[in-house]
Amino acid sequence: MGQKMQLNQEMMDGQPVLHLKSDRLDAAVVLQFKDFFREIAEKGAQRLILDMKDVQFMDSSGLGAVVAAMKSLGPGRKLDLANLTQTVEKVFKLTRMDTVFKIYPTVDDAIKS
Amino acid sequence: MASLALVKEGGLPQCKPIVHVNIDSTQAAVSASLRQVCIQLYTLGLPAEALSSAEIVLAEVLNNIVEHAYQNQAGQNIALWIGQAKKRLNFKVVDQGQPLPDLELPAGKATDLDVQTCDLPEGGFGWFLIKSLAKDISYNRHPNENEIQFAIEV
Repeated sequence: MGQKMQLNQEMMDGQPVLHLKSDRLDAAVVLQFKDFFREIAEKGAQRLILDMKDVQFMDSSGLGAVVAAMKSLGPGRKLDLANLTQTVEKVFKLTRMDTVFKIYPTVDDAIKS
Repeated sequence: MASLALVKEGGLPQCKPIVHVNIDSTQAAVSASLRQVCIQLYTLGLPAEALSSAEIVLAEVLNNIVEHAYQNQAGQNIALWIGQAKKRLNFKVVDQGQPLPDLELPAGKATDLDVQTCDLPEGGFGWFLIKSLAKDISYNRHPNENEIQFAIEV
């Protein structure tokens, strides 16, 4: 089964925004996500904004992949999140991972802060 | 018709079976089946909160079966039944994989986030999510078979 997900990078006001193009971030696509993220992270931006607008569902392995992505940046670099849908926000809140990440209501809010 | 009988035998009384699917033991199949099942549940007109809880719990239960009970071996079956009662959805999941360790449900404790960033957990959230969102979770080991039941309040 060809799972399709994409991580499209766009410069917005000089800041790299990663649009996660998949309606699910689950066990079936986490390896793809990790690969795409690694490629982008290697370019060395200080701060990345992950736009999760299209992600209608995330399971615990998806959450683990976002945590792993943030950790892979190392000290001094940041991964901020924007546009969490209801179910995705619920998983962040229940696991209290919402206290670990900076989460913005929109990409605009993330860029301006 | 066999599936309807099983729902009754499995102890889901007075409950209208609305979903019965067999899912192959891969993460891709679980993902695709969940998509379908959630569309079916959506048509019941349940509150979004209950739907998202159902999808989260189901995903964790099914992925655990793929990963641990079947140890990522494709070609095995996971059977899922969902029944609707008055104020809840009842779920039964059966597989023929390895039993749960110590034949009991994992504790599902919250992970410790009070650590350095580099030590943050990347897993271990699954059973915590299941226990946070589902009610009346039970596990039964039958000969060569695992049966997990739980409910989501609507």
